[in-house]
Amino acid sequence: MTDTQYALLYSVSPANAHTALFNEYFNYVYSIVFNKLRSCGTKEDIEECVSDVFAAVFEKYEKNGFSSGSLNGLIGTIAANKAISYFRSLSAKSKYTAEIDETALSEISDDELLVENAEKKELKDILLSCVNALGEPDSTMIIQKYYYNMNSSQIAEQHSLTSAGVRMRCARALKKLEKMLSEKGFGLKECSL
Amino acid sequence: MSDKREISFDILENTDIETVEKLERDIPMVSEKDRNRIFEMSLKKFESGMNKSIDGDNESENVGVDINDEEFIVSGVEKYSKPKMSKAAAAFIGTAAALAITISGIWAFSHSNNKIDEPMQDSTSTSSYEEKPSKLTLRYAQDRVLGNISEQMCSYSLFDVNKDDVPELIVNCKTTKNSYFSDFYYFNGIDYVREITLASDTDEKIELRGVIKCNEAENLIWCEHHEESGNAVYKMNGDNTFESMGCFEDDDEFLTSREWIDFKEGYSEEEAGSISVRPQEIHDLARNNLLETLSANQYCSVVEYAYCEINSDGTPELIINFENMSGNKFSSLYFFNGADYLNAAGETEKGVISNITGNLRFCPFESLIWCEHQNSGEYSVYKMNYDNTFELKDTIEEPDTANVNNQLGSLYNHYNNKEWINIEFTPYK
Repeated sequence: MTDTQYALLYSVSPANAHTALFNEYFNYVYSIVFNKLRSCGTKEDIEECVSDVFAAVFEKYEKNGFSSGSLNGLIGTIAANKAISYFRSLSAKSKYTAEIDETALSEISDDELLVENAEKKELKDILLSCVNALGEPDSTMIIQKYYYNMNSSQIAEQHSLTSAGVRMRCARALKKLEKMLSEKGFGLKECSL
Repeated sequence: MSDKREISFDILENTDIETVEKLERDIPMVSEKDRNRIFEMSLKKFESGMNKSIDGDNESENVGVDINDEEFIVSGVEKYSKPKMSKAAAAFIGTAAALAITISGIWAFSHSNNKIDEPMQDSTSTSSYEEKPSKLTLRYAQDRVLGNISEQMCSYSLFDVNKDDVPELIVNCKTTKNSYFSDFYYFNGIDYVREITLASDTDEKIELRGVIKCNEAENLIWCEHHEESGNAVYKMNGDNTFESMGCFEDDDEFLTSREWIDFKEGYSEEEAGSISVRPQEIHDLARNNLLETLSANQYCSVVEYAYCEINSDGTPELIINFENMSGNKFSSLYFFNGADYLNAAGETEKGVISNITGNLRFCPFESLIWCEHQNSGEYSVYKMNYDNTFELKDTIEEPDTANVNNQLGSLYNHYNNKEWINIEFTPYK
């Protein structure tokens, strides 16, 4: 969806425009927010933040309109900044010691950090490529289990499998993943930080 | 804890947007219910934010995005050093505050003694403020009405009859090129509704449909109901209640001495418009699909077609005229189901209507269809309901050839007072 498409839709029906934007960008916003809050926020915190993002996007258009171009960047920026703000608030409340995030790290021009960053980036890319190499539905199930922390029954429901079936598939997929990572010189535990 | 349990892809946390996008497809299943709940939360926050802005409170929340700032400032909890106050300053402020409280207490006591006979102001009297719906809430409610209405057949006007700052909605629907009727809607706090309750002993509920005009000075609505004689006039009060002012002849002084706003074309450019919620292209596309399909029929050819609003739902029905191999013409009625034009058929109390085909005439104000079935020689009158279902109202089955004119005359007379219309067709090539 572009800003022009949204504007056109909005001029005809704000309700339809809001619904269309929400449906198109829900997964995108949810994944950004989840990425920031997965370790410090509850499901409710994540949902609260997601709703804040959409409210801010709707309000932004209502007051100033969208600048020309793709909405992806704008919504991504709003979502990331909202999530960071939530992260700070939640961390402060729970006395959670916030780890310096990658954005902050990138601002520090320290050689060691740069090397560490590059290594992390490489590991991330390798991990994702290895996960993708598992093929469907294993790759999705592995991400859902070890990144989104869904339990076997939740995953089973989504994939129309039994919980036992999910556990078995995940165990096999994990072994495969471990093997693939070790061939590239990494271990599974390194992914857990 | 097992090794497997310790595994977690924490490395992907706080990652770059590119990686997040890769993870987006595997997002855990968020149920439809949860999604709807989050959407509702967004809308509530949005409306609340907009209302705050309208009230002049432009302060951004402690967490979030300053939407007025293009750079979207991140905010949140930061370390805050409380400024320390010197002991001397604290002592001075404390003494001053205590003194102020004492003086104001003495003043209040003496003041209340002097005015002891005055009635106490009822604090609840100021709490009768009712929150007005935001523009967006109204727009949503209008959309819910207008969303099902065809652009080509209808236009609408917004006019605040009772001057409560919430406009009423008048939807004008064409039935033919030169004929139209209007529906009156008012906002009941949730939706725009048609049914009004008259403030009388009977609590009669009616709908204002017909030619509608308004008198601005006295909050009056003049409704020329098609199915009734005379012109009914209602007064709309500020609390959305209605009073009947009576029925009048066209030349009655009550009507002629007042100025009336006619909503046929919308009373102003700003607050009236043609409906574009459901573009006509949707109907045209469905119509073209149907005509193409029907044209492939080797036993009859499509000659002409016309849109007609029969059941007053704002979505035009389609009538197609065919010519069979013998050169006889007949019409068939189709209704729009949101995506396609379907042949009018359905189960009624008097049997199944296989289709409404033959020579057709319509009485849009009462949603009636007069149908002369050519194959069987039957005559039927159908009613098309708001939900696109049909009722067989009356019929002459297997007419007695010798007596058909009498039978037909009887049926016709029964419906003779109705305003039957013939449709203007567009040739199809």
